[in-house]
Amino acid sequence: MSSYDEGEKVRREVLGDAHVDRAAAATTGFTADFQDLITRYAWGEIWTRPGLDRRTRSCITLTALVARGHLEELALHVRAALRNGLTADEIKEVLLQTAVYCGVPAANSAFAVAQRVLAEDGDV
Amino acid sequence: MNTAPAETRQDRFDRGLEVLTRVDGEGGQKVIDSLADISPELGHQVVAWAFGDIYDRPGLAPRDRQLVTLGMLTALGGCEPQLDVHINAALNVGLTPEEIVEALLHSAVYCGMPKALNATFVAKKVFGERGLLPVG
Repeated sequence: MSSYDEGEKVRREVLGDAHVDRAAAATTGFTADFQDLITRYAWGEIWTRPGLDRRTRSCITLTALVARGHLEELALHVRAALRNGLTADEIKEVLLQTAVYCGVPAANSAFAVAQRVLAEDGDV
Repeated sequence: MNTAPAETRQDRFDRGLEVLTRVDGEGGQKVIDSLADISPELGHQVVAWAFGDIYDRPGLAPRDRQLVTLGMLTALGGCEPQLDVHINAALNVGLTPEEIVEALLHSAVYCGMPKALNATFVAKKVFGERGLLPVG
């Protein structure tokens, strides 16, 4: 299987078909190469590696997104974290810990996003 | 919540110091000692809040907490001294060098390669000091 095909498979398993189908439908001539890159690189080359399980990769992803303030991506990856086996309580613990390292305002914004996503899914 | 209302400032500090010593070993204590003549209160707050409150919570395993911290320190950038302490801590709580390197590789996707490179070179220094090179 090519890195694109492997990446597409993991991306769908982690982010869900609905999200990936939306991203595919929204792809334009301008964004196609970027969609191809994230599928081959982030999903095909990194998320497919056996060295860490997906639950652990979700923990790392959540914290990197909070630390850099990427709140839209955070919403996506809170859903992914649930799919990868983190519980709502574990996501709460991760976000509490971000307050120490990224500051309380960053954690506050992250909690607002996670609360919205978890409430939509009926997890809180 | 694990913070009973009756808990004193000293209680939280004492619990934090116990957690800090267990997780970070000498590295953490050195940081606290080095603050004694400039800002002992910052040392107190690191111990009492980060370790006495957050790290002592039962909701995540120590191994998961160190991975979470490594991800943030890498993403924030400029936290190489803290990465040094927490890469040691990650090893102390049972993460392998391979898992630590894998976590930093993963972070490149979300924080960019320069930050992953900086963090990986801190890991190389720590692994070298502990006789853990080469990895793999």
